Amino acid sequence: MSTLEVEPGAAPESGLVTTDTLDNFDEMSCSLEEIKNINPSIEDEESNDNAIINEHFDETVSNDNEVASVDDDFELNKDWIGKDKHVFVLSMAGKPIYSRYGNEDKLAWLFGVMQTLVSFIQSSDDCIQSIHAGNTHFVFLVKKPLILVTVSKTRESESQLRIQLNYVFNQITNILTLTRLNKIYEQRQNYDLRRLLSGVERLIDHLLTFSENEPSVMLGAVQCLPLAASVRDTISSAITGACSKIKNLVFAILLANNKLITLVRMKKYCLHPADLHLIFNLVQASESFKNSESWTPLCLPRFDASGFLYGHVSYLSEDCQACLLLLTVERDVFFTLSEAKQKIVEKLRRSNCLEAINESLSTPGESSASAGFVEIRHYLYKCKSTSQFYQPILSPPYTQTKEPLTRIYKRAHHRLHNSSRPLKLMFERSADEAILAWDTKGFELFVVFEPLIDTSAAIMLVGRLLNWIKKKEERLFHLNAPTF
Amino acid sequence: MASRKKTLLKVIILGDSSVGKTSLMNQYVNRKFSNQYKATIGADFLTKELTVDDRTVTMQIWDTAGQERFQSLGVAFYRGADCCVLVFDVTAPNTFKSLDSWRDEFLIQASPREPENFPFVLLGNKVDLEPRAISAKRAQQWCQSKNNIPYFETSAKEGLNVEQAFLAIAKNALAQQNSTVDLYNEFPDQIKLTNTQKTSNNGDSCAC
Amino acid sequence: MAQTDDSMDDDVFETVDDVNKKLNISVKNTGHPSPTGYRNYRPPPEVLKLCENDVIVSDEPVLHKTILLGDSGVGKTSLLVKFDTGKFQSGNFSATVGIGFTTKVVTVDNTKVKLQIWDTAGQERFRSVTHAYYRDAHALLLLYDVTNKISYDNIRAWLGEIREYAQDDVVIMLLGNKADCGMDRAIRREDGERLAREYNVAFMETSAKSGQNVELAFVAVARELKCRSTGQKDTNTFNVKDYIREQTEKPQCPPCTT
Repeated sequence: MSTLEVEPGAAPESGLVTTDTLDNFDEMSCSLEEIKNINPSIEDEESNDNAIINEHFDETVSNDNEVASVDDDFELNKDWIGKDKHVFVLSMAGKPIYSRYGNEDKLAWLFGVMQTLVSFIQSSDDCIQSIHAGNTHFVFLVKKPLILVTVSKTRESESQLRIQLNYVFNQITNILTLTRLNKIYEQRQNYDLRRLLSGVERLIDHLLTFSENEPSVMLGAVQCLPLAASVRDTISSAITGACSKIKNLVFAILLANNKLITLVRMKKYCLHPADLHLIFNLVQASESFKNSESWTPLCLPRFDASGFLYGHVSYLSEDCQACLLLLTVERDVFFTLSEAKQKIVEKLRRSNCLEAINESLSTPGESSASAGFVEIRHYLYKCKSTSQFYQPILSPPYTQTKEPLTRIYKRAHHRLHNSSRPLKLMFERSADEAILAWDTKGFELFVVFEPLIDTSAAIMLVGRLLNWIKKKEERLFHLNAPTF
Repeated sequence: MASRKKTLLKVIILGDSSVGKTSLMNQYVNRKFSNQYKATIGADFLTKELTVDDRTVTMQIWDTAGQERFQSLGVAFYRGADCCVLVFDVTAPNTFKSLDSWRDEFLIQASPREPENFPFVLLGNKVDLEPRAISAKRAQQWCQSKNNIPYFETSAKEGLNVEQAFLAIAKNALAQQNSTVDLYNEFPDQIKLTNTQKTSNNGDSCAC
Repeated sequence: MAQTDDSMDDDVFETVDDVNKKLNISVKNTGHPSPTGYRNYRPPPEVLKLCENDVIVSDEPVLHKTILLGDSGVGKTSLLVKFDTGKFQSGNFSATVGIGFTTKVVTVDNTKVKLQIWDTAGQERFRSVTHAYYRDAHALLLLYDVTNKISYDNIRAWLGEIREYAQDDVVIMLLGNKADCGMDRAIRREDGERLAREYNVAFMETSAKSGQNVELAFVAVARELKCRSTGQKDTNTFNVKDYIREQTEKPQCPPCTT
């Protein structure tokens, strides 16, 4: 179907860890004993054929008696009940840590029920995975020392929901490190973790919205800000120039508008997209970085869940709203990095890179129609070896609301990665649209067409599309993996 | 120095099945207690907010079924409890005799860090009923022998002493919580760069 | 309090008197210029370089580090933003992550004083990061929220940390913020004054919203630091607490528009 020798966006070396499938996306890098402590039976998200409780209840599970007796209660308030997706985090002792909606104190009883469900199944050496009641899915992630639960009426698959729970776990680890998290509960099983997480609720809220609406989490990839290759190279070398003599600097990341501009790294170290997503989330959700240069500890669980990196975080300048993060293992080098940042900005200004970034940020980007593909409404292309993806801007009928498009992609993605019956290629037509999804060794592609397209036309268009991306790859992808 | 005004306490209620634990809880939280989960998963739960010395305290109350088939759940139920409330029926001597085994069971299963200082509270319930089999003095003696457990005589039926008892429960548990050490700062967290990235990919390390 | 490996100060305070003496930020009654040794203080070279870039420093650069401390949500960042930009941020304004760094030049008696202001996150989990910066601080603005009793109660614990990690002669100013709150007030002005007296630190109520005393809080600190660092002969005559007493806007005065 395509005559390409190498898939678009591929590069001999990548600064991002390669993400092939969803396998083990929840794993962390641990230098200590944590890996051993993690309950092995919970690691595999799709081992439904093992001894997994996967009970199906009727809709009548919702208890009418209770409704009658506690009708004045806030948890039965329509605003709370009516939400599409709840997410709860609790300790192994059943103490509430996070509730996406409502007040976790008032819901304390509910967290008790969730803990007991988990331990009830555990008492027979088993592990609860999910409960299905009509259109509502209860998905559990038991990941010591926490329990995460989602109650979802969205049509996302169980594994997609579980990935989101893993992201929430990673977000908490990002704040505390896994080592601290474990130590805290080793010392005090009754610890109220909210004490250490004040303000983090907002980060988790933001992360959940991000993982629901952005394809990056589903794809395990990041999108780059389109830039001429020469500009991106100049930016990278400005960073290497200013930072090469700084000891123990591990990563320098420049991003804007949820897109990666460049990633410079210490030799032999790569960044996992899941860690980069946590960084995107932190930057997006923290207005305070815009006030001043900042210095903050952060743990990147896929990089090293046992300790903190320290980040110098700042926006390049008043007139260029790209955010630069310099991540080191030293806890006390703010001034060194602050100085490096000044140098980087000066160089970028002199070489007109700030302008180039601004220009890219202010141009709306290309739709697939404007690139000459009128029958293609939208698409997602992910290059596996570099963990990067590209998507055109939205065009009608998805400009009003992105939701239907997100649903189409999530469904197609699940069809490809369904562990019991994975697909390599699918083409499906409905009254509203047609979708082609294709999983190869090098890339993943999801293309949404006008509904009337026929198979051969779709395949021909996909070939042309891949060639187009290949031609533009230098601009759309970060093709080299610079080091300090 | 946390600004958090709220504290959540996990409170376990234990005692023989006829002593009136459920009525006590009903009386306390002012609502009909549905008992809906007890039969299936062996426990029921209530939330109650109260104010203790300017602090808002949420009590997450765990009422266990104590039946044979849920015995194995003990560890999970009792894990991380902040206070344990033992209840007996002042008119039923057997329920008083069981207290030792309930207390032992709790300490074994929950294995708190300092068992001798773990906050228990004893409630002698049904004081509105006759004839009385266990005197207040006898109950207090038992409490003294267990490192001075606070004792309250209650009547769920008449609401006697129930509020006071739960207030004492909250205060006792809070006193324990205040002895918190600085859990956060004592751990080393420096990442040592070894020039080889710990790899975490690929399923061969996965045990499942 | 757990120790961090790099910021322990060995001073132990024995008695209340001793504590008061050590925390005394006033320089009256001292017969000689500031005992701090700041006269000879030179900022690290990278800092000097930073300030050369954007300020013309007359003869001797006067650069001072001030840290904002206090529970999360008491309004440290709002106070700083008001001082820095004159604007009041509220509502959607999010919590500080880690430490934020701002520099601001104020003019004191025709001399420029460059304040390097560290705005810290109040949350417990950032404590170990912020401790590392305490010992370099010349001045601390310690805030509580007059509508939040717990933030006031925690001031003692904050002072304990300061004693443990900061320099003995650090300038401390206690600020009761959100003084514009009206009916929501939980801590009376007298309570703040009493606490400040007890620890012998300067005190005022501020409002980042109305601007009340915002400028004054920073300028008083700058003034005190300038007097100490230049070792001027008239140092003895400047007393930050008297200065504040003279300058403080009374609560009933209309919102400040400076």
